[in-house]
This record gives sequence, structure tokens and C-alpha cells, in this order.
Amino acid sequence: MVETPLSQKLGYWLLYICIACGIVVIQLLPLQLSPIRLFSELRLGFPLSGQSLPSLTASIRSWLTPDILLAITCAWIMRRPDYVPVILVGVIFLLADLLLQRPPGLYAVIVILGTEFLRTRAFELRNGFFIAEYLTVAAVIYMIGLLYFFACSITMIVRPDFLLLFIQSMTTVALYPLVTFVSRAVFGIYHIGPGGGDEARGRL
Amino acid sequence: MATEKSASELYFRPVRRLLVGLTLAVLVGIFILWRIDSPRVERLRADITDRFVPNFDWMMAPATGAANIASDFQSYQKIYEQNQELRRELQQMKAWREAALQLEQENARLLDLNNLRLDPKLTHVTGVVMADSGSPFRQSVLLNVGSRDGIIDGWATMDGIGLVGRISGVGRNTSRVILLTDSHSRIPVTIQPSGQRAILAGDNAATPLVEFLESPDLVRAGDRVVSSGDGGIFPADLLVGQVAFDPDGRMRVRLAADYERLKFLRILRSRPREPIQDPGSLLLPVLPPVSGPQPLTEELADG
Repeated sequence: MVETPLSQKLGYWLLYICIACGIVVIQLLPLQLSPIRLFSELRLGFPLSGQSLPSLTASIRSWLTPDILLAITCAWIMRRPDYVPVILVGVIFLLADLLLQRPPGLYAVIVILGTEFLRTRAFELRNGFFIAEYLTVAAVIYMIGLLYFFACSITMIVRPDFLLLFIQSMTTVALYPLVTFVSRAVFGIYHIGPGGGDEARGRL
Repeated sequence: MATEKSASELYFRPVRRLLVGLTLAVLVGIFILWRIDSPRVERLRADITDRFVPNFDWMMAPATGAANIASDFQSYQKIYEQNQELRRELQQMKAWREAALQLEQENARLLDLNNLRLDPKLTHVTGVVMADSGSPFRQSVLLNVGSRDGIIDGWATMDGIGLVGRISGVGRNTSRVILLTDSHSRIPVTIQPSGQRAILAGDNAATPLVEFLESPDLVRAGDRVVSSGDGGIFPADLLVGQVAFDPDGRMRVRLAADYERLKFLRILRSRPREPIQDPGSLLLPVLPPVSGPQPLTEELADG
């Protein structure tokens, strides 16, 4: 049994925090000031005649609205559950809720429910094909979106637009393979081998 | 090994479950607290934003700059067309400018003739956009002026041309502007030639909806929409945009402010109007003090 040394785990926790903060800060950059173009056009039924010429980057940015933080969290949990402890997920998503103007705590609770589900499946899915993992994660991401929508309805908050949520979940799912590839290639997040320790399976 | 595993599972499983349960309980607690006492938690949120976001200013400015350079570079490809178009528009604008100047002079002369006194001029503070809402579900921007600069919740913000939104959430150094396109935004407006009052309601699309309009038949596409000043929230007659119809026949407003390029925003200092408190003294003559304990109501009845 190979125990992951605590210092290495601490390093990955810090890395996760840094990546999360980076994603939130990039989302906060004042680049996307007008509403999502795809959404507006679907809503209006006609293309918006731009008095200002939309550039390519602007239009890509305004079409894709993935929740990259969620994708990264799922990808890491499927590979190394011990690198993303549940408290860390809670704190990061609570901070994101506060900074991104969501009802504080609600999205964090739903994300934790989803990722805990993934955590219990991570061990079984790790020897299968990627497609099995992908389908599971996709289902969880869609469920998170749905749950968030219903939770907002039940607690009588102004609920997020369903179409917009759907676009977001879809783009998150579409980006998931890329996110797993980057976490493997850049950050070295691999599946643990069959001899991996109990701890590495995220028992604590 | 098998026994080891089962032992560790016996020990770790309950601890883990407890940990997950505790985290969930804390988060649900925060959420319920927010639901019950929203203003306090929102103030906490403003404070956290106030602490967190300005720290990343050193990084945000270059990153935003680089992204804008990239998008500007792409727009160079269309620069010739754009230039031609701008020239044409400039010609039209010159004609309009002449007309505006003449009208302004005429207006000033008429006001002078009538001895009319308008509202005192609004003063404004200008702030720089630091960050946006970061999510497609909320349309808001963060400005670099806050309670330190005397900003108060509810003030209107404009770019050079049109209304952009209202202040909602003030920290010490930062304040948040809820844009008109946000799904929480509701603004009282007047639609110009017909003079009807309505509510402008954002729905996260680029063009907000017009709601609670009495007779939609009187409104045509292209009518001017200005703020009405109802409820004493906003100063009246700030330009909002023009009426447009979507294929479902619902009335929407094309905003006059350029939402693609919000950089500097004007925050209008609006002072509440002086309330008139004593209505009686205008109507009744000042009576001499009457001897004897006579109630006022009888006096009124007699008079």
C-alpha cells in the first residue's frame, strides 16, 4: 500500500485553491458585459444587429458559458478524490457563490451532493473506459443544473433562466474531456493504480 | 490486507460521513440565514467583494487590456468598411447637430420668456468598471467607487448616452451596479410621444421587456423610452432606449447605452425632493388666539 505523502496532498490542495481563484477572477474580468448573445438571439428570434462590430473572441466568449470550476472539480474527483476534500469544495464554491452573485451556499450544497455521488463511484469507474466516466459525469452535471433550478423555484428565489442553465450545462459537459486532458497532461492527475491506498480513494 | 481495509472502513466511513454532513449543514445554514436576513448577508457579500476583488487589480488590468487588444486587432480587418460607415454617419450627425443647436437656443429663449425654473442640475461621480458579475445569470458590474466616495444605494448610473443601471450594494471601495438587462432589474419608464408609464423589466437578454403598459396600441417601434422618475428612485427624463418588437409581439427596448463597451460610468447624485409637510397653513388664514378651550374642529366647522 502506497500512502500519498501529506506534503504532496497539501500541494495539490493549494493548487486546487489557486486554480479555483484563477477561474473566478477570470470570470470576473469585465469582458462579458452584454448578455449572452446566443441566449439573446434565441429569446428574440432574430439576430441582434450590432451597431458595434462583434469581434471573434467576443463572440466565442459570448456563446460559451461553461462552469469550468465544476468541470475541474469533477475531473479531479474522478481521478484523485483525496486531492479535493469535501470541505475544500464547500469553501471554494461558497466563495464563488458570494463573488458571482448567486444565493450563498445553495449552489455549493448541490455541487457537494453531486460530487459526493461521483466520489462513491470514482473507485468503480476508474478501471472502465473513459466513456463510462464521461456519461456519469455528464449526468451529474445536468442533475446539478436541474436541482439548482428546482431548489431556486422551491425557495422562491428569482430562478435562473432554464434555457441559459441548459446552455451552461451543455457547454460544461462538452468541455469536460478537454479539462480531464489538461489535468492529466499539465497537473499530473492520474487514476490511482489498483494497488492505491485507502486514503487515496478519498475515504477521508 | 482484507482485515486492514475493513478496519479502516469501519473507522473512516463514519468520520467522513460526519464531515460531509457538517459541511452541508453549514452551507444550508448560510443559505437559510441569507433567505431570512438578506440585507445583512448581502452586506457581508459586499464586504467580501470589497476585500477580494481590488487585490486582483494588478492582474485584471493587464488581462483585460490584452483581451481587448486581441479583439481590437480582429476589428482592424473590417476597418475600411467601418471607416466608410462612420463617415456616412458623421455626415448625418452634423445635420442633426445643427438642428439640436437651433432647438437648444429656441428652448432657452422660450424658458426665459416663461420664467420657468427647472430642476437643479444633477452632479455626478465617475467610476471605472473593475469587474463584471462573472456569471451569465446576473448582469452587473463592479465600480471602483464606494461609500468612501459618498455613493448611496439606488442611485442611477449612465454611460455617456443612456441609462445603464442602478447602484445596488455598496462596499467601502467598490459598488455594484445592477444593469437594466439583469433579471432582477425593474425600472419605471415613460414612453415618449404617447407619454405612457410602464415598467422596464430585464430578463438576461440584451433587450429588456416593457411591462404594465396601459394601451400598447399607442406605441410604435422606435419610440423613445426615458426614465419616468416614479417612486422617487430615479431622476426623470434619462434616456433609456427605443422600443422594438420581438417576433412574439412583445415589446422590448433597445438600450441606448453601449453595453459592449462599458468602461467609465457616471453615477448621478440624486437628492430626494424636499417633502411638503404642512398642508393646512396654505389653506387656512392665521386665526387670532381664541379665548377659552375651543377645539379646532369646531372652528373649522363654523368657518
